[in-house]
Amino acid sequence: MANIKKNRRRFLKQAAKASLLGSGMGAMGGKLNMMSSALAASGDYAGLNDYKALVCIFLYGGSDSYNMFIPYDVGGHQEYAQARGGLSLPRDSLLPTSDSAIGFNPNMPGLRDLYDDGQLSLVANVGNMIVPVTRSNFQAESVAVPSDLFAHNHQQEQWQKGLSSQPSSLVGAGWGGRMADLLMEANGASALPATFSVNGSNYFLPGNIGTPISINPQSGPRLLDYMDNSRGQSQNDARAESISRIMAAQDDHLIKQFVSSSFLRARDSSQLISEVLRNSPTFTTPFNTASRVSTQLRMVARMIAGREALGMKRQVFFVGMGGWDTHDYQTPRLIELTQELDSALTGFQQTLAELAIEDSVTSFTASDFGRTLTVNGNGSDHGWSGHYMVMGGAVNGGQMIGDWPDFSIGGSEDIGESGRLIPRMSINEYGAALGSWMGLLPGDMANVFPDLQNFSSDWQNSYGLFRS
Amino acid sequence: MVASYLIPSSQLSKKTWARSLICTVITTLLATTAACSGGGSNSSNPDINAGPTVTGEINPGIIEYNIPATTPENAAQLLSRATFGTTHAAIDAVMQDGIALWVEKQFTLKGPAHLDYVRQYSNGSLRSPRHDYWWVQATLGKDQLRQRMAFALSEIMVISDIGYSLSNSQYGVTRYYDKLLENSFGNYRDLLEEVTLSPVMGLYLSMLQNARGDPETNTRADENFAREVMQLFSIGLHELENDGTVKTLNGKPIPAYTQTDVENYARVFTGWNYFNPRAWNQTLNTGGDLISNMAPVEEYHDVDSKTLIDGQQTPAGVTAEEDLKVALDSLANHPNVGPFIGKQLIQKLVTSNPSPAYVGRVATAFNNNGEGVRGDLTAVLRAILFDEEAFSGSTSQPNFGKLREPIMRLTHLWRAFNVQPGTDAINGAFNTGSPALVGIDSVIGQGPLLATSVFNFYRPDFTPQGPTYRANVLVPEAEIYTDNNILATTSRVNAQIQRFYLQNPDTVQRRWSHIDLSRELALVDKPEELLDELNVLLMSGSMGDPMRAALIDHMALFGDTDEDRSRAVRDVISLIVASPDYLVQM
Repeated sequence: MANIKKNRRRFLKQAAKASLLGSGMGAMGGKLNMMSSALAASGDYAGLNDYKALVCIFLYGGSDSYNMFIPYDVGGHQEYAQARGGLSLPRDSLLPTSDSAIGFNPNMPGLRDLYDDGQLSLVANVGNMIVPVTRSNFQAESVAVPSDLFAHNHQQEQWQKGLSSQPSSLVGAGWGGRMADLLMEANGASALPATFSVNGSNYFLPGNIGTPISINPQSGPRLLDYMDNSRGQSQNDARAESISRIMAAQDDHLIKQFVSSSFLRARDSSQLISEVLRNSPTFTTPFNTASRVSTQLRMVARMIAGREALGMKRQVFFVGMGGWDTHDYQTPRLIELTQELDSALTGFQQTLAELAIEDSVTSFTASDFGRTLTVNGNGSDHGWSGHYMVMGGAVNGGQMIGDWPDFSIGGSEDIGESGRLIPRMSINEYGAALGSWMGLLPGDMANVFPDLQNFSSDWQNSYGLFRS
Repeated sequence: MVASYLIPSSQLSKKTWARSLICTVITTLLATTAACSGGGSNSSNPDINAGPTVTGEINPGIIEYNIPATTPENAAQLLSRATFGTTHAAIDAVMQDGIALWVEKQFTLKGPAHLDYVRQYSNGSLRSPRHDYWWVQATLGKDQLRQRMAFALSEIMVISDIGYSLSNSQYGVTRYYDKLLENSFGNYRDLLEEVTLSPVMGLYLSMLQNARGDPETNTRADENFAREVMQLFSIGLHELENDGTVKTLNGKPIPAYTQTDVENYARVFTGWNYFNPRAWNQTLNTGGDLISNMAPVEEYHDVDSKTLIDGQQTPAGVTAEEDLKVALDSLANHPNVGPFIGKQLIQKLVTSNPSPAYVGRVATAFNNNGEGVRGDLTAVLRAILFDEEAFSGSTSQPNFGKLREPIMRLTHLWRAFNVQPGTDAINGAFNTGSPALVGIDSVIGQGPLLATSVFNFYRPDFTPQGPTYRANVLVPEAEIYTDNNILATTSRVNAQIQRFYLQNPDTVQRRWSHIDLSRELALVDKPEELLDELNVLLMSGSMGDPMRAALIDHMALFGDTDEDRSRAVRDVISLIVASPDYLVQM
């Protein structure tokens, strides 16, 4: 065992060195963790010695959080039920929190328990905004609002990029990536970036400096079967050498450059990571292997378990769960979705406890947008504001940051007459609270969230979301 | 030398003689070629797998194009755009017919419906037959341009059988694809209506059983289809110039529609249900008809007047069908459609970053096919495939071309090397290892009608952060070139080359599909000739010198044994199809 560990360390060292030196790395060459040589190292984060990871769980499609977290007091529930009509959940079906303030969706008992145990809090009325918005200035079109509100792909992109004051096409990086660009310094000489996706491409993780690694949630990183140069097979070696030479050919064509750089990065990083994952512990916490999001979170846990071998002090992960666009048959569909989410998140938190790392990992949910309060038959349509969860051992749990929205249709927070509610907290404020916990210095926050200046500075204490 | 494809566009009176002249030429050519093959597949492929191909009349367009004289390179280039992969036989056919006539012949071909096969081998829930037959048709069908166009359309007017109801609706999902095939060379307006009234689209975007709002129960019409038909299937989010440039006001894009428009169209699209339902709430499980178009049930239709995007007020009290037709007309006639759909088709077939002028020419052909018809998709395809930029872009533009879609990486390899289903193949299907084709999306990130949402596998405006982003160069397919997919796809392609080839004694298992490398093996002693041939067949002649030198050196590693000779051929193909010069279709 000791020997295996030693060999593994040696392998990693060598691999890290090889990639640092850029041997056989082709046109794009260089460190796997960088896309540009212009690394603006401030030195501010180099000394971070503790481990922290942030896990974004993006609920694709626009999650109906109004039916996940519901006022439990009789009056509040009545207002909710009035607005939601046929979609409303009866009060006696809800799972009340110990303070009776919130009724959790009946299919989320695990998350309710985490709330009561002080490991989960809610952040209410969050959404994509440039500046604070009111019903009157929205209707008068006298306020800057994000472009293409209610369009899935653009709202996903803007949520994940977190810089809606600029046209999306002029924003390259996501806020997870911009955060990691600064924090990656804590990872010292690690050859890998600080950003990992287990849900393929996204707009959240790419940084201005770092390029995220994407990992197959089921099998982990794959090795090339016939062109891998780490398997000690001479046939593979010859092909590996020739393909490296072909990839190294200089070409001004930018799409060809993408092909070679992405191929080499994928090949080299997968060799590194698969070596680490080969030694990852077996978890006793059961995972629902039929669930894509559970499978993704298990892979995140395996990566976290390998943090030391990978040389990681700060990591940002991206997880995705689809199916939330409940225009029809919302009631049965939301049962399945909330059940799956509940078991995936609670299983993940339990696994982190098993690894004794639960205080160092914070998970949060996000989504395209919230949904309409009103009913379109048997579902809901695209809304704006929504409620999200922040989970982890560091979370000062058992609270809802912010109050219930005004549930009245056509009321003070409705943009029109369909219950499309205006957010009270911007993504930037939500993200800044999480970034503060990750250790971002207040002075750097404007680099990650340039629109933050348009909102109050209450984010500086993270809204009390974390134990101090 | 440039040969003009001479059909005058300005003088309509000459159209008739132009047509008859072309037809004469074609008839002559038909007499000299064996069968009216579109050159779609290698001649030795058994037809039984692809099924019969119907041949119709040639009816060339009247817009004039200057098409260069045919060479093996530009023939292969055309085929990389207009088929699921270049073959030697197809290059020969294009060389013989010339580019224009080859395309015109393709417009007359139509293979069998996929539904017949799926009905035969699936109980409606079994998913593999739909995939098996799709890959057979994409690879072996003679109506290659139709196949390629239908697939492109399936990435614009997206349904997916991932999840909820559609995975158990295999007949309906297959019927949807057949509709795309049937309408690939038709008119956009008809296509839009067929897509709109498809019951699986109805299920996918919840137009099916979308009921008018009811003040009693405080409900309103479902906005799902109304929003996506505008954002994705017709006009897009922003007002466009004819050349696809976004119109702006004070530096901000002008929205093509508002939330109020969405609400109006949501009300238009009310009152539609399965054909002949037992009741309004007819379910799929109790026999909802997935094949016939949806039919109106008037009592559920919102009969109030609606305001359409062209400002027109629909009259109150009209039927669901009358409302729908007017609303679809308003979308199909919107000036955005030509540039919005046209640009995406260019991106799917030719280049990810067409110049505005190219988009404009394609949009103009969409707007008017030369005979006053708007939305003629054959005119659009001619405009895309015969455009001057399609021929000259690879030399005149710095980042021309497109990243090959993963699906094409497999089909191209198969077609180029004459893949054969194993002698023990089940129902004629291809089998090239695990996972089977029905699950190939877990390897390549793509599969027919298998996107994770109505937004397709990738966005047309995607570019990865990095040099392409900084240079404003779009690389849509890069969205599915994730680390994992790059490695898994390369491995899968390599397995086909290194393991499932005919001479390999390890692969006698007769259920596997093999490629045939005998033609290449015969050239192994002449590396330069072999590379010349592969350069055309696989890369339309775009192989760079450094790559060529690396391949020559690689071949020199091998000796004279049979195994060495075979390995030299296999390795060269493996290296080519993993290379940047190959993966960017020029």
